[in-house]
Amino acid sequence: MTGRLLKLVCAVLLGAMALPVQGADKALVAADFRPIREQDPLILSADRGYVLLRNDTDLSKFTLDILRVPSAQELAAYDAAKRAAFDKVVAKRGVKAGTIDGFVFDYEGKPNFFELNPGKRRAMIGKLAMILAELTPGDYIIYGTGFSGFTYQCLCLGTVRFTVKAGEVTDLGSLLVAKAWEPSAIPELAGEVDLGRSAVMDYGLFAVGLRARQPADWLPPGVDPARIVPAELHAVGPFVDTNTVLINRLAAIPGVLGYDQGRVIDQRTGKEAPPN
Amino acid sequence: MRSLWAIGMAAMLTGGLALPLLAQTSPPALPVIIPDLAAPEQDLGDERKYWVLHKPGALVEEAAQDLKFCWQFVPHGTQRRVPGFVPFRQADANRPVSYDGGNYGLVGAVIGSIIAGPLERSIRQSRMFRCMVPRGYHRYRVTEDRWKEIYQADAATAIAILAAIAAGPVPPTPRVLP
Repeated sequence: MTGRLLKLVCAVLLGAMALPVQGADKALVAADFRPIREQDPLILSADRGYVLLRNDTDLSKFTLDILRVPSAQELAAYDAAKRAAFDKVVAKRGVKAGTIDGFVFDYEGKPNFFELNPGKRRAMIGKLAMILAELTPGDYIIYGTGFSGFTYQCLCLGTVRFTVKAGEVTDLGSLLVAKAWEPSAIPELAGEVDLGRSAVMDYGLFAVGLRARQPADWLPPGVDPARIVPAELHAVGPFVDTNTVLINRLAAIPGVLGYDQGRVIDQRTGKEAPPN
Repeated sequence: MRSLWAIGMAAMLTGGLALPLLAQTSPPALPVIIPDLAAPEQDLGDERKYWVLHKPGALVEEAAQDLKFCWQFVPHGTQRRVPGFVPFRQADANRPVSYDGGNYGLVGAVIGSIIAGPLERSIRQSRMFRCMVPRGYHRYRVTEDRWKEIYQADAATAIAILAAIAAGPVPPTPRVLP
């Protein structure tokens, strides 16, 4: 009985976390983002971009969620679609439709939010997942971490951006993850861990960092190493997202990203990276 | 007197107030009464959730600004689905979380109603903890009732009171250490 009750509590809990949300159109997603798995042919197109990430699944099996900064045209298309959907609801429900600011809208247009998933990897060496994905060239943000197709925590309190160029493999290095409520031996996560019991209430907070590519790190066979370029990271100030479970920040990266009294510091300029 | 003036400024900064206010004859703003936070240790709530903030040397305006920033993360929405579209740098509606039990009928609804409050409080406090503590604020324990009284007021009122506490005297209760 206790076991059944526990399962029911878990089901309700998970249901509350992740209500069905309409997913993006698969064809549109494939046109914008494609994980390149072990069995896939590896042909780099001159007009597509690529990202490479190493994820030690002994540390975590979290996905790294990345966001392509939408263009003004993409935002205009989104706004127009949202307005049209809202107008339909207003036509049906009148004032009960509320305001457009509070209108929950599932956009079915071109997506810009993707996951680098260790389950959809190019190779696995021991517990180390090598993730390679093809995507649309542009400016991307390390947005958060997640699992099972949902974000778990955003890196809303400070993160980095990078540019993916056509015909190049942008190497993000290695993803570092540790439980924020315990000490960690990973030096890059110092300051983001050992936060005590407050970091693990009903949900645990996870420290997240990036380690730039090391000389001995794996590179995808069959790709000209000259086309694999380390990501040039730039600090990004805080952004607000409430549609997640927890909020956190990317661990500081010397020369790129720092923090001062909670404020995000762009260490390339020495100035605060303003909120978005 | 300076602290009363500063507290009044916090009220102005954070908008209108709805909780009882100390009567003042001289505008510009009415000061907030800092609630009595003292309580026997055995009455204090779970130290991970039930706390107020204090920053040595902070001005009430600064505390109000920090709180206002972090309060943006208080609403809790359903997690984003990946892949999808995020209108980055634009306001996006919070997707309300439901604890109605989904397909689990009345039993699910009852369980949902039981777990909803504690879960939402832990998510909210985890977010405030992560946002405010790196800004140099220390946490001091309070009773669950006092916490609810402060935090469950409207946002402007709660921020004004919390800012006054943060910039006022060190709270009399034990500090929460990591």
